[in-house]
Amino acid sequence: MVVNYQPRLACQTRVETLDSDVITVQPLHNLPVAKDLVVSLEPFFEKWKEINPALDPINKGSKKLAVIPPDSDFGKEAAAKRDCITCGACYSACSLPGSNKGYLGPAAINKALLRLLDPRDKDVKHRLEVLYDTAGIWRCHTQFNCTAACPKGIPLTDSIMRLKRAMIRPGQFNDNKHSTTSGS
Amino acid sequence: MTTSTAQLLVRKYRWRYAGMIGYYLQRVTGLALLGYLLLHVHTINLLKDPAKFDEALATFRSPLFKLAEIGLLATVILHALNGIRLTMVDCGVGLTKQRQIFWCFAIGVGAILFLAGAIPMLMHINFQGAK
Amino acid sequence: MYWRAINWYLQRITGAALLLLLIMHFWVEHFSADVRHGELNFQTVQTRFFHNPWFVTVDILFLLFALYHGLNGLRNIILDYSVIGKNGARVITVVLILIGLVWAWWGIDAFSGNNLTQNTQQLTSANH
Repeated sequence: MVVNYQPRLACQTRVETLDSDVITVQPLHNLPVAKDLVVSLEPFFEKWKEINPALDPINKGSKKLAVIPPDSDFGKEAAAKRDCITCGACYSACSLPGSNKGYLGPAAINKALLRLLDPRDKDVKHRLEVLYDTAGIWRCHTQFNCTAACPKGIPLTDSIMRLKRAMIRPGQFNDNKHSTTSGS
Repeated sequence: MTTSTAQLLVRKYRWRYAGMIGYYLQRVTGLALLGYLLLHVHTINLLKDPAKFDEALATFRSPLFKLAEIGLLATVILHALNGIRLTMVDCGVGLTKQRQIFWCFAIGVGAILFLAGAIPMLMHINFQGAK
Repeated sequence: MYWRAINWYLQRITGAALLLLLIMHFWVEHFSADVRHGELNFQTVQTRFFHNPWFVTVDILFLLFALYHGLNGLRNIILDYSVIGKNGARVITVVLILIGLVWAWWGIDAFSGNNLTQNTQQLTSANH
């Protein structure tokens, strides 16, 4: 919900923290209103699905665990990025999904980056194609609203920026892949 | 506590963080500068007709145009400094401080540079009539 | 080809270059010797342009970079509105490239001189 003009998790917003005797509530922006304050997250999840959010393992039939140690490079990178709860606050905070209905939105882009960086995941080409689209990462104009709105504190603008920089050498996402099994 | 209208308005637009103001600013100044480029290239094309060129330059000496030039200075400074901030952020530098960079650098330093240019320009305007 | 990625980098690079070119251009137009001591009019501008080819070079470079940066920026603004559709986006890109080429030609053509060019060049070479 948008409470006092900021997209937030209504369930976690306590009135006393709002420091006001006037509280404005609105349905989330950029999403179709189903009724009253309820929005449909359908467009948000369409973009989510477009980038193939599930892990596409290199070693699908493996019986061993594919462990990512928390102190490994990817482990540390993933720590901030994987907390997304798909609440839609970022999608609501940015102005671009409002004007460009095809824009992927910060959550989807962040998830795509997480998967691209994952050494166990083999789907690089398809995700890059989706991100490279005109309605992909290029529609971000560093408003920073997404980073400010995220209740999990994920540095979303940073994720999108990393992808913009990386697009000149997209092969780099193939470099870190290896059929990880436990231990490596 | 009662929330005054002013406070409510501030709260409503405070959501327009520095990032958002910077976004609008870059676009507006950018379009303005494109428009200026159109006018400028047109004027330079008048070099083909010396009389018209000198006539145009005389018009540009009038107080109204001198004030517009000061406006142009502000536009250029804002677009350039915010552009530097955006390029820094694009390189991953200063991401956690992007708001401070906006207010202190783009606006703060910008204001200083603007005054450094605008004050001498203002002093040279001949409000009595064009030279 | 990764045009969009290159384009993204070029927008930043041209932006930085424009800052430098602006400072150079501004210096020449407002602070160089002949402008400070004389009035800015057709004669002084004409003489300066054909006296030293560097002036024209900087000006043309400035124009080309500014056109790239500015029209690219305009393209980004337009593409932010999905209502134009995928084909609309392609059309806009082509149209803006065409506008850029015409505008660039228009700007460069301004330096093609006039019937006084010949005389000015003879005068300046005679004075040296």
